[in-house]
Amino acid sequence: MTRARSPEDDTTLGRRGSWLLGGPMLVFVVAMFGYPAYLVLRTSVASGDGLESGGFSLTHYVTFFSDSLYLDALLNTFVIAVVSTAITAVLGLLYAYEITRRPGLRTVLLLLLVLPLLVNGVVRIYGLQLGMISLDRLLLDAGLRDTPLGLQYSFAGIIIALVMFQFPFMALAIYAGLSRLDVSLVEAAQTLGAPRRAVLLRVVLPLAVPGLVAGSVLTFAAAAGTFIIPAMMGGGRVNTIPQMIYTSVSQTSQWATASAFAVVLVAILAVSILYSLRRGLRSTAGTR
Amino acid sequence: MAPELSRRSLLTIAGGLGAGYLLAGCGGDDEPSATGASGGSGELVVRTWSGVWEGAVNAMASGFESASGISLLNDPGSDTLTLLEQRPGEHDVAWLIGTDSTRGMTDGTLEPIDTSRIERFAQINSRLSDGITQDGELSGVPISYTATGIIYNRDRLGFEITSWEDLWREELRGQLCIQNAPSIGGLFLVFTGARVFGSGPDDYEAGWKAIEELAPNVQFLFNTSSDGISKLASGSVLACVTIADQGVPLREQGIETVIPEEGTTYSIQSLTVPAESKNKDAAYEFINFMLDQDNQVEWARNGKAAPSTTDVTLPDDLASELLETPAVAESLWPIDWYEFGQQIPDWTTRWQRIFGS
Repeated sequence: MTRARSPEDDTTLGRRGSWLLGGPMLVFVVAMFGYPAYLVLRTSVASGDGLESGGFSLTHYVTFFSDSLYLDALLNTFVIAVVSTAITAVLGLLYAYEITRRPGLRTVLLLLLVLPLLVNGVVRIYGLQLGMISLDRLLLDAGLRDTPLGLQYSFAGIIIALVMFQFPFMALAIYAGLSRLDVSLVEAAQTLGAPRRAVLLRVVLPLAVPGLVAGSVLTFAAAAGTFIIPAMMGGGRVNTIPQMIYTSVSQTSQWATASAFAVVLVAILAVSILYSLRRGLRSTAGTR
Repeated sequence: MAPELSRRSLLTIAGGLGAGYLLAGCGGDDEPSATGASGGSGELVVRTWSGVWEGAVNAMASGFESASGISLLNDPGSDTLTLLEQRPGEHDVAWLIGTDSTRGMTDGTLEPIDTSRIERFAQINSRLSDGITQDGELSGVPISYTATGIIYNRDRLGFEITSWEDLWREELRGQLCIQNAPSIGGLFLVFTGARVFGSGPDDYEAGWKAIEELAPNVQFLFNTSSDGISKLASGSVLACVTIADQGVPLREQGIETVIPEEGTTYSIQSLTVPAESKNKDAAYEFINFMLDQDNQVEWARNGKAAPSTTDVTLPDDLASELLETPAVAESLWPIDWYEFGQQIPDWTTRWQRIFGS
């Protein structure tokens, strides 16, 4: 004799199934993110500077917030992230819009976007540096300038490299949203006499907001957290928080100091990103 | 029948794969790997740096294996001291620079070298070993060293550099590159400044004042030594302070290298024995092998670094590639690596305040 399965049984089975399916992912997240994050947090409030230091102290945070060296590095990190995100967003929006507008060139334009991603990042930075050296030489030889532009090893150099690195991700994120754009809306606006800029700002931009938000979050997080680009393009002349973290750990093994810096950086990133997401989602809701 | 056969086949394949993984896991010790688990007395796990050093150790490995009958597993990589601390017992011998070997001794990661087991200890340049000795305990055995020099483009600079003092000249404004802190290559210039502009080698305040005055001449700080050299070769800077021997391949491009006669700083490549090494006998055998006269020459050729022993004569072709002549070996400034290592955190912060915006 078998009993017919009731809806309650199905629900229970469904719950178990969800746990069975979600369990490995949960374990993965806890092991790969949760535990390391806990360790960093715990180490940041240790009384000593070693990995095994116990106790509780806010010394490392006090050090951070009371020293202009670290506050300036934080400001640099934030400014670099904001400026590179803004520039990448504008360029990405224009590029994504062009892909949408020109179906015949879509494959080529998408390929051009993805191809640089196949080249190793360090090689791309060296390529950029050589390009800047060549540009300087060209301008000097042509008599157009008396001194080099000074793009290398500067704030500007870091921003240029970050824009170069993040542009494909931003453009692809925006294009994912714009690819669903109803071209007849653009045509209707143009037929009614809207100038090109108005079409872009009032028709295209609102539809691109979700992609812009996604791309901006990616770019902002990557720009604020990158070590290699400021290290190579800044030439040691622009201090950023990731560089301070690296310096604290490499050779000097100041784990607690580095952990406190990392927590501050993540907290500021999280607040900024959550704020942007809320603003972005509100704008998107308005367009629906 | 068909479904049963299929299930059986599936089980067979799965079993085969599982057995394969198990066998692969058991046989994994035969290959050098990042985990580099140490085996019995017939196996030596060596930790070295990547790049040139990795190739140099590989080149020496077969000679050591033939001479000793001990198999050598090379495990190259960075952050060696941290690795030794976190994974004790996995390495038997490790290459470290002066600041790291002394730090390893202080925190107990390394054991003091038993100099009575080093056959040619007396032949090692005492300038190299004194700085890594404290209370009679040696933190590592210097195998080779690289002197710091000034590499520059004489034609474009317009004058010959002969002294460290020349780095501060107006003609080098914005045309110099030096290594970034906390790497020791840049911080060496504090010692240089102290000696050249101060009252003596310990006059660090004079050294720091000199660094502040040098800052306008520095175009950029490099994190890897090859970065400085490549920018010099490309013409974006006129001079670079780095490992002197790196300038030798650039001779044909009109790039000159000088190790000033007043003396210089240097980096040592020393072999250390981790406290938790499982095969210390093999570690000492390897150290003795590396100090053998012929092997010192081979190491110099492969590692592009000068031998640490004073009774080694380099063949002409090799001597022309290494700038650390006997005169240079005599002019090395004494460095207390224990003290230097302790200063690095504070010095790095001070360095960042001067050079960073």
